[in-house]
Amino acid sequence: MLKGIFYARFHPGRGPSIIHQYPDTSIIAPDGATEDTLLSFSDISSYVIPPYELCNRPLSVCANGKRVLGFPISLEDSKYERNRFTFNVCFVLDEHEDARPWERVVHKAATFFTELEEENDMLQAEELLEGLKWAGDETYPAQDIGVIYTILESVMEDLNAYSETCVRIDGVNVLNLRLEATKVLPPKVRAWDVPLLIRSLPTHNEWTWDLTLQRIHSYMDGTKHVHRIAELADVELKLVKRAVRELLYHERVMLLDIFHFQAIFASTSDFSCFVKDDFMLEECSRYVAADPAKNIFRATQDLAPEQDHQRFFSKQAIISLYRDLSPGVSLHDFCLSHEPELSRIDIRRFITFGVLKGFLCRVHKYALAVASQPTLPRKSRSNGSSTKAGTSNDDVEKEWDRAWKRAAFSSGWATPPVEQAEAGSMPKRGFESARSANAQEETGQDDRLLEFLDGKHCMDGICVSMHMSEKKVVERLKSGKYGEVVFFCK
Amino acid sequence: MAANGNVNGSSLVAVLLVTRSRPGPKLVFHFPPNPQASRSIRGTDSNGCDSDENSESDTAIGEVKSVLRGNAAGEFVEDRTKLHDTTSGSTTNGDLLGFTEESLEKLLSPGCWSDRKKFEVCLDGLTFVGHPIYAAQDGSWTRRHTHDHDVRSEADKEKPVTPVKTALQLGGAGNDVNAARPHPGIAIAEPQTPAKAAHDFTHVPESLDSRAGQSFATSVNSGSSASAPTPEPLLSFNVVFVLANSRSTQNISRETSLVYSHVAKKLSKALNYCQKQLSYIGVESKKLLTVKAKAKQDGVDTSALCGRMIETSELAWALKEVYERISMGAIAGIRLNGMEMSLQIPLADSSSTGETSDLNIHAAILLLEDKDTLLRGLDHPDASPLASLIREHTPTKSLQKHAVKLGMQVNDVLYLARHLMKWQKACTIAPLHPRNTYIVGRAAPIYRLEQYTPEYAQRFSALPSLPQVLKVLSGRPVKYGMLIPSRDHRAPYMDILAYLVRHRFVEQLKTSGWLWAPLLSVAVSREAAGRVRNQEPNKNKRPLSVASLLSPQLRPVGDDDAASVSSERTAIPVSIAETMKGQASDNELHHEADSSHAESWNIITEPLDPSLEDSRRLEYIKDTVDDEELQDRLPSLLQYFNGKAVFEEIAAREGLKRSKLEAWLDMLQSEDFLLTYRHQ
Repeated sequence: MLKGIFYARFHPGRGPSIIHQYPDTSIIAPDGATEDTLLSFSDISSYVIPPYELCNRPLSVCANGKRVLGFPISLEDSKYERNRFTFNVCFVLDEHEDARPWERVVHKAATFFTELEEENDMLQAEELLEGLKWAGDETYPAQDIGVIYTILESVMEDLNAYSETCVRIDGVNVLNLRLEATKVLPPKVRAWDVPLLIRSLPTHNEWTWDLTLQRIHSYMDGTKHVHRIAELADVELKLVKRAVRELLYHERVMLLDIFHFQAIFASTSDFSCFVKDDFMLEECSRYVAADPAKNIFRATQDLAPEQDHQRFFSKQAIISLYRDLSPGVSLHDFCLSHEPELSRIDIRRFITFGVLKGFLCRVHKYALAVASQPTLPRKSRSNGSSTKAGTSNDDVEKEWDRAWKRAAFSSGWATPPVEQAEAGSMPKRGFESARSANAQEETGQDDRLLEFLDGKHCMDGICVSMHMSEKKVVERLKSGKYGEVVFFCK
Repeated sequence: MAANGNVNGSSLVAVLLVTRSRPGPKLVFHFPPNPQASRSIRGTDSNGCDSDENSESDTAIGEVKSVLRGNAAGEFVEDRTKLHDTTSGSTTNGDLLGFTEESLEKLLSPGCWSDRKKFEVCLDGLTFVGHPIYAAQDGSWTRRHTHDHDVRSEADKEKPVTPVKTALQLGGAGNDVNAARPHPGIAIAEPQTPAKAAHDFTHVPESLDSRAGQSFATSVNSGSSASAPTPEPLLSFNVVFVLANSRSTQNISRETSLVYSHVAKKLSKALNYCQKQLSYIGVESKKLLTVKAKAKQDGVDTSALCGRMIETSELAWALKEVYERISMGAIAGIRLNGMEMSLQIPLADSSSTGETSDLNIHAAILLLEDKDTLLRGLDHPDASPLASLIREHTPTKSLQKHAVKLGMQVNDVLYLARHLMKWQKACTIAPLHPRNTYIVGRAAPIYRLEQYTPEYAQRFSALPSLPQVLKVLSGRPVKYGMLIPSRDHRAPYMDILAYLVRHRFVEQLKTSGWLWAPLLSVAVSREAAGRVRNQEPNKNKRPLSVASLLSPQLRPVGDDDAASVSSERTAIPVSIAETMKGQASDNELHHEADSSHAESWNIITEPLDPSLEDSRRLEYIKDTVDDEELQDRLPSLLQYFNGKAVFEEIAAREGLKRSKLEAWLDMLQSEDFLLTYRHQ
């Protein structure tokens, strides 16, 4: 809530002075009375019109429980007295109000006023108008003289009432301001996050879709993880992450975990809210109900065709089902032990609902190589960051190489004759080289896997970046190559 | 520099000390020597040469002053220019946080309107916050006594201050004398104010603040008869903390107000006290300025200068300490003029273990440091109540029990506990108990396991290694007691648990729940049909996790259960799967049997304020349970069946035996009246 707004400048004769203010007696009262003003201008005048070297950047000060947001502008030109014209348009807020949304407004207003002055000489010229009253004069404001008072008035009234304003001075000078609540930037998207659209995206007419979004949109179905989307859409992973983060920011998607049956889910303390919320329970029973014919658990069950009302689960049944998800019980075990009930439930939706509503959370699995002697040289651990950077560089190179090859093969270019000749003339050697390449790749994989064993990487992430299933990864880690590997769930 | 930048979320980038005396404001000290704001700061505008800059700012300030003061102002403008020349000549490397020192000096020495108030200025993404303190209107620092010594003299007022100024400007010789002089040993009662303070303070030269002086004009006075310890009166000082508003900072204004109220304000008040007593700031800042001037002569670079200043001055060292500690989120212990003080920004609502921090008599505290270390830090390690609390402390007992044991009032123990928590020596937890279940917490620093392993191995040699213990605890949740092989092992195992909780490896898995029951009409038919079923030992109706929580006895490791715990978790033991299956089909039968009545089974979500139907259900539950004592106690237990209360805490709150309560809950469970869930 804007408390006041004023326009002040450094006057060669009077020093820092307020020329216009709104409301009319908010900063300077006619008779010099200070009781009803928001603050004492003399206290803060040196921050409203600061020394020249601090100008042209945002400067705000708190006084008297108010925060004065300003953006002092100092223009240098020989046409001005003392070659300089310094002014500031200040917004007064309560000290405890969040000033961040206002910062951009203040900046834009300052830019607008600067343009008014630089291109139309309007600020300086206004003071020459006959009959203009200054803030603090008895009969301030003078009606219909000058434009600045009108601007201030509409800015404050409109921003307070509608959070936006549009003030038209003339054909070219239009001031548009809008207050936008600052949103917290969402966390970075990881390769194994699964984006799920929770609201449909605006059409192409309403939103300008960027190229990445256009390509990945059809792949975002709530089951594919970011890495997969990037592969399917043939878009660089970084761009996909960025696009998904953008959608997160606009609250169009939510991130889920990869759905697989090794995953462990546990209820959070929000579960009690879910139990008490009849509406949510209702919603849940509708959402998770599955067409029995399509359900994977259906095959093992021999239920008679059900009536429609039976397809929906009772609240109690849903609650007990969710309740049985606990740390230490993987989805696989859960499903085996609840097969009968699950015949009527879409298990993926069942999990998704809980995660989306926040009363269910994923328990991730981490692997840590415990300091015993692994058979592999532990270079990545001993060398620390330097090797890490090295390998990631290698990764980039490999990735690039792969991408290039794919592009080359799909483009229909002739492949380089050297390779052809080699492949054609020596099939046996080709086979050998393939085998050695295999072995090489394996060692490369070992090196990469070793990097994940620091307890910071969750199993989903490892699987995605290794292109391996969890089972395979676990098998590999247990092979003894990596020393003793301990798995933790948290 | 390790402490530089934003460690632990603190966006503190620098601390500055600005003092103001007659020649103008002075940036006496700053730390770190080359602060780096995490954002790029636009440099000062390059259009316009240096001379322009000077003249502009001079005229701006001079203009204002001449309005106020007439000829006197001219004199000071002159002084100022002189000062300008010396500084600008010497500060070749110039910038601090992207601004010149002069700009910062002007910016950070507000008028006396800010005296003892929050001073906050945001400039281009940097927030400067401080608590400026001014001398009294007469220039003295001992407020109480000023009227006693109200000797006004015109002569004093007119006394020139030139010698002082020269001393400052020359920097070297004159100041050395001052710096070398020992602190004047005058008691508090005697005003310290130098006679020179009697000056006319109407101008505050070089200040951004223009009219601040006006109010001063009326009162002119002498500081008293005391001898002048320092020839130059200090008008104000301002310890300013600089915070960077980076994109990652979620809420800079919250952080600013935290830094202000917990650090800036407290430190300034303490400094004010020291200044009142021994003109502390005056003396220290003089020392610092001398070092600075000397360094400029010698051409020493900023970091070396900073090092010298810290060596020379206790105040500089204290400010460095405050900056380094606070920006790491730690406690700064400093010493000002022989007086010790500690500063910190208190942690957010949750304590470091993530447990809820509401302290009550049923909670326990967990010491975050070793007892010996804590005891050594106390003044009277033998006698004080705090010392005895620490010595007798155990995280397995609630504060109430501690109070009884120590023969102290509960409130006193709470007070001591709060004190320990405030200074991050302890955190509050639910008392550790072998019947509770603990699992590896979400915030567990698994990736730092190696770092803890040696310490752990040293403390708990001959016991399972840290990875082993954590591996077991991250599996299927079991009561902690199941891991303890024998009664003799109990104490060391509880120590292990305390160690794990302290380092945030494990958290308690809590149980909460509701009662539920069928509607009466249904209930009757159910009773008829279900009696048979209830007769058979049907504890396995619920999943084992719940059953095991509620099982009355603890079994030592070596049992089937425990073996399955330590075995690989991915394959759930057959017994559980079977159990769950059995229970599930049981449920299924249930649904098949009375699917039309499914809706009449209802969870009693408001046990204390039940609807008519729910109170009939409660009646039914009460009538159905076999145990008479439980029937009596049920009404008082109802409040815990709200889905939020933690079942593990009921026994302590109600003064019941845990085993008895667990038997009761088990009974309710076996009758299928209890719906539980577990959460962290």
